[in-house]
Amino acid sequence: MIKAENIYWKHSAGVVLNGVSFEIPKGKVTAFVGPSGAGKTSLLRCIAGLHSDCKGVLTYQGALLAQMAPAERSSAIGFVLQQFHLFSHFTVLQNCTFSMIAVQKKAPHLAEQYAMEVLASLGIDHLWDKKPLRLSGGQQQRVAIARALVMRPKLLLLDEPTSALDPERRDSIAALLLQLQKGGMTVGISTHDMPFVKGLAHRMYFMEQGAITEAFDRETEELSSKIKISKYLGA
Amino acid sequence: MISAELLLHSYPYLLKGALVTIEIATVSMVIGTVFGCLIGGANCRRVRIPFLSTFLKGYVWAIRGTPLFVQLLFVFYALPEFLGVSFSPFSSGVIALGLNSAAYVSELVRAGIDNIPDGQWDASYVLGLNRWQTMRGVIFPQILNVLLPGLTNELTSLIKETSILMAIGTAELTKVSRDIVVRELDPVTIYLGTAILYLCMTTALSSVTAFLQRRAFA
Repeated sequence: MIKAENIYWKHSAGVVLNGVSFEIPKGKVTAFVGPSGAGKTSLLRCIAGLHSDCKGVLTYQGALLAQMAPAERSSAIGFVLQQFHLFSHFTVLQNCTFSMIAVQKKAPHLAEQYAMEVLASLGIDHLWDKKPLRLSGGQQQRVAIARALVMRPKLLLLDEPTSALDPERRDSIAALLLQLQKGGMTVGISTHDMPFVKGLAHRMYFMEQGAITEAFDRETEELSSKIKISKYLGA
Repeated sequence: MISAELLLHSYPYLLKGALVTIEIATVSMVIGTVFGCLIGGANCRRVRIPFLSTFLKGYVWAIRGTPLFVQLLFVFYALPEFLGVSFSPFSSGVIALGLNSAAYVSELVRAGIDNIPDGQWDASYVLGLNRWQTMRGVIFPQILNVLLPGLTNELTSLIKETSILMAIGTAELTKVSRDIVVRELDPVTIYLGTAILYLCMTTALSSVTAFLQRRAFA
């Protein structure tokens, strides 16, 4: 679904991504793992178009991502930021409907109807009239996921999805992502939470200092053949 | 000694002057708020438009660095020489106050926008919202809460600053009161009455904005 060749990105502090190549296969969960500062978040941000100055070739189903308009990209790729960044002046429902109405030009009543369906599927439809600041971290995350899902993306990216969650909620978000994947969604995660991705990811890329140093495909390879990932997983 | 009779006799004239003050302040407020929001939006960290942002920064710098009185005299006496058209005292006052206010409002707006976390822009971008949609639907509503108190101060100052239009002959409240003082020779009564009228106007404005703030952010 996503193919990346030789991705390079730097900011004022130095090179963050240094010639990274990878593939996110359709309908699978792909995780980018590694220590803090390895470049995982920057990589997801490049895919989501937030680093428009990143170099290299990034394609989505064969089409160059750099040539996709933001509206087109948002319907293909959903991105849940690490801090969620819900719109605090909107209710949960408005957070979900705003982009549908503004970007996809949906009629407000249809947008609300669909948003409520998505909220219900995530078990948070009862929060529809609440403002984000009144919600717990786990609830905020589900709203952020719902806000991305209402745009009907084919690929859902999540940056450090467990960073604000307790162990119980971590399991619940893992179950939710598996449920989405089984429903046909492609999922991309950046995380340094190894227990979280252990049973979740079909493919893993281990990143260090802006480069992918090891890749592991659960269906075709033995974990023991991957020294760094296996060590990092504690396996 | 305050003369109640003189005050009662003068109030119709003072109210007429106050009405002109309100007209000038209202039009200037609209100019100041609209242009202030546009300039503030164009000057914020995340928008920056090449050349235009530099020009607008220069404009804000010049307006904030020179006295309003000089700006008023410039608009009334110097600008017609450049443009070849003359402005009435009322128009000159509105232009000078409006453009002055726009510079100060733009700084409030710019600071408010720059204080919104970058993540709000990022979240908007990944949802496919363009800059205008982001500004209008996401950023601006979030800065209103912090903008309103500053805006109230600015607009209150604007009402008081209309008094300098007396210098170019605009028949606003201060000029009317001075004319009455010259005629009646009772500055205590007239200027006290004038001050009360200014207080009424500024208090009304503060009350309206406080009410709006309570309603919007309840």
